[in-house]
Amino acid sequence: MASLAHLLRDPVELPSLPTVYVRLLEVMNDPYSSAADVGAIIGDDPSLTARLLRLVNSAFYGFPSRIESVKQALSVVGTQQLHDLALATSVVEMFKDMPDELVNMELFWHHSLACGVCARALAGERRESNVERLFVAGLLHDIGRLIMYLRDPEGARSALERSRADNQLLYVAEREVLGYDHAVVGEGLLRAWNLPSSLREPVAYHHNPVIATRFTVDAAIVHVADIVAHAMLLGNSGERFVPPVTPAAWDRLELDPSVVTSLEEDISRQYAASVLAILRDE
Amino acid sequence: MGAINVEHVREGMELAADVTDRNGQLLAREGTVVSDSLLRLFKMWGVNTVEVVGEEDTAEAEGGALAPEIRTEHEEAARDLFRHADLEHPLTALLFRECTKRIAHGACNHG
Amino acid sequence: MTAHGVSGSPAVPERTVDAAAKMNRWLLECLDAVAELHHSNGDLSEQLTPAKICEATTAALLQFVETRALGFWVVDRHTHDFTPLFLTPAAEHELLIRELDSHIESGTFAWAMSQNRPVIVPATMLGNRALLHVMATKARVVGMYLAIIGGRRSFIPEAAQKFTSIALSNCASRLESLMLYSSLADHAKNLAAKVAERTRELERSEAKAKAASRAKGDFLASMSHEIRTPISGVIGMTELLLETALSEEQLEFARTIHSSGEALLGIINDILDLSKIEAGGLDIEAIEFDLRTAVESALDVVSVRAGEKGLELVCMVAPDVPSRVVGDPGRIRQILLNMLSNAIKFTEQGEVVLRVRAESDDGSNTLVRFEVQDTGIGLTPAAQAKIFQPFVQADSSTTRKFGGTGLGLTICKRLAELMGGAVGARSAEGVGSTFWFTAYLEQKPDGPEHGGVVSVDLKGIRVLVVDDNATAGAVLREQLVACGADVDVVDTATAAVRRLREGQALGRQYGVALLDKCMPEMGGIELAKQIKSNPEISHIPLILVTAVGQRGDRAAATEVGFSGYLTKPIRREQLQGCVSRVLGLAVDAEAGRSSELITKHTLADETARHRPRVLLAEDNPVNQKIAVRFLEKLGCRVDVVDNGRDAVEAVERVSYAAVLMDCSMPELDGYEATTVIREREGDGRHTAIIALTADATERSRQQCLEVGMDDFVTKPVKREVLGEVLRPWIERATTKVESEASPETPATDSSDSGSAGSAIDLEAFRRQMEEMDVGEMVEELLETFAQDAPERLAAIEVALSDGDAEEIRAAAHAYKSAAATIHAEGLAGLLRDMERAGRDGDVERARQLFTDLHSENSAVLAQLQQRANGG
Repeated sequence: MASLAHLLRDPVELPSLPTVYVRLLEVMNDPYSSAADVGAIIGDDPSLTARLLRLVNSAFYGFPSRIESVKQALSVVGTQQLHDLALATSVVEMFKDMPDELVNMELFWHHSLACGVCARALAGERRESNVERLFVAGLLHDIGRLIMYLRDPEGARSALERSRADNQLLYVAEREVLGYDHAVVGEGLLRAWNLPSSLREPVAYHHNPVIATRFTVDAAIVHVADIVAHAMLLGNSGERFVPPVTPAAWDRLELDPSVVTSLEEDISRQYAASVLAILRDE
Repeated sequence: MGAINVEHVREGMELAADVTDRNGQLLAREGTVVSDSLLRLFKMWGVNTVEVVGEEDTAEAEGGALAPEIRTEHEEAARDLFRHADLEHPLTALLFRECTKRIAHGACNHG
Repeated sequence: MTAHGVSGSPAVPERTVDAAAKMNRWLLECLDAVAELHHSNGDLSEQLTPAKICEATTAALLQFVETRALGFWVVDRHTHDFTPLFLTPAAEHELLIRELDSHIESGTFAWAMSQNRPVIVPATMLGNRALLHVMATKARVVGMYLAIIGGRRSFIPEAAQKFTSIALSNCASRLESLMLYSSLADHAKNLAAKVAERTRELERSEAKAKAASRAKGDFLASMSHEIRTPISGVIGMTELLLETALSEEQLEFARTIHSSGEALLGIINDILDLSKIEAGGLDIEAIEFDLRTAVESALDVVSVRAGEKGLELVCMVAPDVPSRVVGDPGRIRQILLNMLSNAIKFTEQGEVVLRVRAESDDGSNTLVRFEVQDTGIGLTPAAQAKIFQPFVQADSSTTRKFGGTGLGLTICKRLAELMGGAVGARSAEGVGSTFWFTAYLEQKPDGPEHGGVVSVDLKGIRVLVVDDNATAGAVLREQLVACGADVDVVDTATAAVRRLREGQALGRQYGVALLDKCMPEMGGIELAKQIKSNPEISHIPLILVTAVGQRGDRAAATEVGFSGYLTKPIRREQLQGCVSRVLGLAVDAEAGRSSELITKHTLADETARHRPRVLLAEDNPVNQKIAVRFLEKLGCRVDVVDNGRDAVEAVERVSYAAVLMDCSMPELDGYEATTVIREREGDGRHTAIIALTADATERSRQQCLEVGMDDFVTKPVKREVLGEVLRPWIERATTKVESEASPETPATDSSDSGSAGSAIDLEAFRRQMEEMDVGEMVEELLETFAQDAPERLAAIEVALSDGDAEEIRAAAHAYKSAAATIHAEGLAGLLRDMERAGRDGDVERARQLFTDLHSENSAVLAQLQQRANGG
């Protein structure tokens, strides 16, 4: 079994983000760059362009008119937002073809997309300004598991077996067996990718949102989104049981539970669209 | 009577049910005759489907109610999934109900 | 295409720097604008309007986004429609409206509502773009912002977009606040109006409540008669019932009903009084009356109860208290009765002292202070505070223990206040209480002294008062000193004897000594015996002072040699009268049984006149007296014997015009006596014999005739009937029958109707006596009855212990008629039962009856005692 340090030590062993995204990230982080620059980079990558346009034209985005170009997408969707979506699609691309031994990849991404969509919907309900970032955070919340399956299959299997034997929550079994859980691993990966803490914190604390320091609301959103995704039986990332909600986190969202019911329709629709657009390239 | 897309709603049609926006705000009562301004209102608030008298049901309908015996079975399954969650918590309680419905729906669909 | 997204090549550093500097300034401006937005949030002045808020937001927005035209729409809370609030410039109004409509149609409007960021889309006007941004708070959508921006610039910087979001979010909050604030102001105004309305309502209902209270008071006051009448009916009927023949059980029940009825009437009176006072309907009289008399009459009422409990009841009226005043005697009496009753009720041993003094005097009016002090259980400080409030008892346990409504003292308070005074109480728990009240009374010095007896002059007379109770002694002293006597007070028998002997030896003799009956070491009676057996001082006249309710005192007093007898509480006139009479009249120590005690009721002397002589053979003294009176009124001279044998002898010696013969007498009854007389007459002078019988049957009539009686009269005897029957015989005799003397109207003693104790229906007795025209005999008859009663009872006791049914019958019969005559109904009834038992031979039953008989007898005697010495 690998230690956390060992797991994350070797950046070369870790999968890396596609170049186009790295460049995108650089541009985004550059204060003197403009949207045009962003548009140019996306435009240079036809598959990214295609994926993004597919996504923003789908029910996932729900814009009433057709978005024809990246430029238009930048206008309508917003630069930051489009950038976040680009990250989302890129990551999925990276891991799409992983072996299916320990986990069914399709089911894994289903769950991840569901969580992303839920997080986005909750953020929208709260009138957050950048809902797409929450989409990405939700999408990436369990990415740590993928790393564990990749780099430490033995450990991952033990944890899985323990969770089944004890009828225990998987992340609890992970902590017991390995001394760390997938959330921590995920955070480490995002850090290795130089992704901002606005993404890292929600991922790191999605099972323990109250200890988030800066992005407490986002962490709470992803935490709740994960639970909703489980309850809606959309995909599976290895966790059999519905994780318990942390009441303080729920309270922080200041939402009425009935909101979940009213969002359900949207969530289903957007989830289905995202699966089509992102996973199946349709 | 049926639920139709707001795009197909015309002036003069009668509402077969109350119309609310996404947040539950009441926009028009059942029985109101649709006017141009009302249509505009629907569009402003993003109302997608409306139930009108006489039209065929073209929008998606919800599944019917489940027989009690089946529900118990699905509840059992849901209870198993929720065993680590606190069913007293309002959110969890709601999710539990939704989950049960989904299990049932899935069973129906596969059934 | 750039590698790293940094605009410009390394060859143009200046441009970069410029751009950087520009960007920096721009960002600072942005931050300033945000700060400014934040700052203006605090402005909630009166003049602020939604339009003004939009104006301010516009100014901020225009700093960062080049805009051709813009507009704010707000949601109407009722219709949910978006209405234009602020559109600028004016020239572009229509354009803006059309633009918005197109986006509504396209669905972009609805979609923008779900976003919380600028949505930039192509405008309908070619070459332009539209920027839509929702205005929303966390709670709800407030409105929509539309800006038509130039198409020149490709992209609006992120920072500008961000600022737009901030400004519009801020705008939305402010609009919401303003709306809530004005809504709040409206509510406040509304509230003020509601409060004013509510206050008016309250005032109206208060007025209503006051009117209702007044109406209630009026109702109660006018209903008082309606309420009292049925209760009086119950009480009256019960009294009538008590006069009928009732079994023991029925009697007990009837008595209970009676006392309950009286208690209920008392409570109702209290309540009615209180409501009358509260409704302002109670009037205080302003009549002339004698204050002392009013006070003393209150004392009379409670003296029996005080005596029964063994309490000393003392009254001290200060000399400076005006006797004759103008006020409401009834109300003063009411308060005094209440306070005295309470004092007696709550005191188990010791004394109750009533003090009356003048607290202040302005020449024409006096503030008279009445204090009732007791040695009772006292009040706690807490109880003292609220004792005068309605329905408050000292504590709840007292209600159970002592009864009462708790209204009494409240009424006292009100009454005192109505009389220009006040009430108060002082108390020490376990030691005693003093309840006081004051009344403002007008002096009336010129009026005649009321109460009968003129103040007696005892100047030069030395009086010795012997009483263990200091207060009582002091009172007696005061009263005697007021008459000019020289008074000494001692508190033991030993001291008394010594003083008397000293006085004798020193030549400063005591003219009279007043001895209290109940003293710890040696009582008055014992002391009297001692004095009488001491030749030095045996000549000194003695007056026995005793508390009420102690029977047998008279007999004992006479036996020992007392010249006078007084019962406490002692009225001044009483005391003075008794002392003066005692000093004026010598005691006939040898007269024996028939020597008279000087009391208030002295028999009037009668000079004998030449009149027909009649023999009365009647064993019962009361009946004797009645008959004698009748006969005297008829103008006869009467000889009295009380048994048949004496009658026979008397007839032998004297020629009587007629003989009134009671049929049942001891030794020889009427029938037998008549037979003997007739035998002895033979053919000689026929003396008319008229039977006196209670039995009105034909059979007895026959029997009378058989033995040779001439006529008969049934008991109770009516004067006219007696007159009718006797007339022929008397007229046959030489002397003329006196025509009817003018009926004397006896002074009605008001204490008859208010007496404690209903053992004797004095009203009925008096009435009957008056009907028979011998009303003035009431006192005498009662006295006689009292004198004989002990013997009568003793006779029954003896008969019971002998177990002789016939003896029982006879004894009961004898006593019964006497009791019946003076309307001692209860006693008579019991005696009737006992007589019946004796006749039936049921000794056991007779014995059972004796307990009741004994107590009833005591009650009768107590009533007599108290009455005789108090009136």
